Amino acid sequence: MAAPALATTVVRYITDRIGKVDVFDETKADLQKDSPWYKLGSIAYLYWMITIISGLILVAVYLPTTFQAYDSIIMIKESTLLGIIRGLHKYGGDAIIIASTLKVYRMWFRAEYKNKGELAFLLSLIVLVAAMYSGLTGYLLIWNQRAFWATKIFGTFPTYLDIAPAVNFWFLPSITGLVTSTIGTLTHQGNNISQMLLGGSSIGQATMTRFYSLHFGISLIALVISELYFYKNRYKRINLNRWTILFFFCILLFTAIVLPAEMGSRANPEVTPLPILSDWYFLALYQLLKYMDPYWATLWTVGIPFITLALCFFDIGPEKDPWRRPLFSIAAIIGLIDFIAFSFLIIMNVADINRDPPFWYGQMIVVMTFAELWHYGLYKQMKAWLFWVVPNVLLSGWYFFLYVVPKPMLPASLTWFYSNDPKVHPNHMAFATHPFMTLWLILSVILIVITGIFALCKPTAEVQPA
Amino acid sequence: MNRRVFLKIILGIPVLGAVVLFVSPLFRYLKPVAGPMPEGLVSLPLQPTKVHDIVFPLSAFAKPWDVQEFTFEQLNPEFTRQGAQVSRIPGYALRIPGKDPSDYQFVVYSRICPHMGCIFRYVTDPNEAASGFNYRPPKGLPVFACPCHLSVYDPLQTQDVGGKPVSGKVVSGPAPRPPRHFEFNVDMQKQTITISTLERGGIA
Repeated sequence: MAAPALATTVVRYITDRIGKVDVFDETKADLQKDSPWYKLGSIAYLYWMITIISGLILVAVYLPTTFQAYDSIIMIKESTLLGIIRGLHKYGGDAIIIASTLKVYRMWFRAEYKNKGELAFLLSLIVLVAAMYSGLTGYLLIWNQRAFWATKIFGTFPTYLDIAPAVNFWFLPSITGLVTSTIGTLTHQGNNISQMLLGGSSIGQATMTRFYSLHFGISLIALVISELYFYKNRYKRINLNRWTILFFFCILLFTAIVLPAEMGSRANPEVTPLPILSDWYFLALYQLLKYMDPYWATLWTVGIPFITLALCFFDIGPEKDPWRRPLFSIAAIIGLIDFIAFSFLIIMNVADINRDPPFWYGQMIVVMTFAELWHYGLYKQMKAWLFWVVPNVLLSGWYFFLYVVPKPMLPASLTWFYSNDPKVHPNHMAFATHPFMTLWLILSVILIVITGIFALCKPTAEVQPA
Repeated sequence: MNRRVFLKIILGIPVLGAVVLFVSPLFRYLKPVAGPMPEGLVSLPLQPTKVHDIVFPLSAFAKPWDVQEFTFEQLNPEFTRQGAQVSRIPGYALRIPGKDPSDYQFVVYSRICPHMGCIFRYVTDPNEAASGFNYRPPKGLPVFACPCHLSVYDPLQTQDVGGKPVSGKVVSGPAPRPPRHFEFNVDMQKQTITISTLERGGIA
């Protein structure tokens, strides 16, 4: 009887993971003695509560209409106490995002997703993404320039689901674009999603009301679910002593007093500020928009959390030490470095669509190839090796064709398969002048040689990690 | 799978379907309605309508590369009691050089960038285009350039959109297509240019 066995396995798999669920480090209180990083969940919960309470005070004064919102914020700012409460709300939200990001990183470096922890990791990611979207819906409510234009970009994003990308890479068939644009002509899914988000085909009162309700809804639903969960399992919500709580509250209070939350200038739909910036946690994604076709940028933006989740399933084996999983540790570090670098670049308004993307692709591929070599050096296992070498060779080949090979125009007979308007990079890099290219070539040759050796002579026994 | 499980699954499908059917009309209320209820989630969203035409005398464009800014008002459907809000769409009418110097040739664009909806500018200084937008016009001619993601449009070149050549080719930056065009009509007897309808798409 294969089917019941399979069903039992699936049920067992799920119940095992539910048993390890942990959202705000409530099951890991005893680990705090060894490492302060296990306080992060409690800190995020503490800041969430501060944000909810300060938000409840603010709704009594705030007027959610396009005509009065900005003025009511001015009124809040003029009152000292309300101004500080608004600071607590704003910086409290930022603190939740910082704490949950650090928590995701902690789980990643300590491989807490291993040994049935995948669901707990997924929940941490959801908390982070929900906090970010709660922030996104929150800052439109100020109705200032930054909020208006950031929302415009957020509302324009989905419309790209209806059309094929205008820019296809030279050899990359426009299949994805063809599929989405064909569905798009039937269902108009992108425009409909955009209209549902904005409550119309432009940003106005309906948008504001919708964002206001979403801003409440995200926290309200999460609060009900988390309270039910805490109540049922009888967990303690904040595993910090009163002095730690006071300390973290004072940090927030200090920030709110010293650095009053900014409000910018009133939204003006006819003037775009330069440079246009979102809140800090979306800055890196905005830089991505300057670097690639909006269709691909949309896919990346939606895809990054899913890719992060997928990667943790690729991390096989019982090893939990970050120094013994270099591939995954380096992927996380390079993600953080690029996030910070992109954020700084957009603040300084530096972006050249021809010059910069090859650099970032090259940097990514070189670093990941280096990480693979390191990983290989530790384990010397063919199975795990092939697992990684195949995507790397594909990625490297893609990069090579995109930026190294001079690209002729396509023959007319092939245009049905490729994009009509192939992007011909006018100043693709010269091969020898770019240090990344040389490094990448050397590493790739080593990769290919090692794979060849493996393919020719099978190792008799798999070497255990030292 | 025993008979009980099998029957449960078979029974579950129509129940699930009924729930989905029951809930799906509720989603319609998320779409803005102006007038009768739109057909559903997959119908073409409601489109904006214009408030009135914009008219310029041709004397406003004395020589090529003269530009006039205007604000085109349109009613954008919105989920409110009014059913719509008046959106002010900034636009540019630009006289481009024709074959004959006395020839009146125009491009009329919505200033809303087709990339992410920012408001782009008319940049006449090639040095400004080079330093601010990473693009130096080869002949030093004016271009349109967007401050948000640094897309640059050349009004003299054309690009294919849905198989049709459209002026305002994207010469730099990530924009997927040229700016959206206004329909316009040049009346040589009255010496006027009348700007009537905006190409649909994007959000205002």
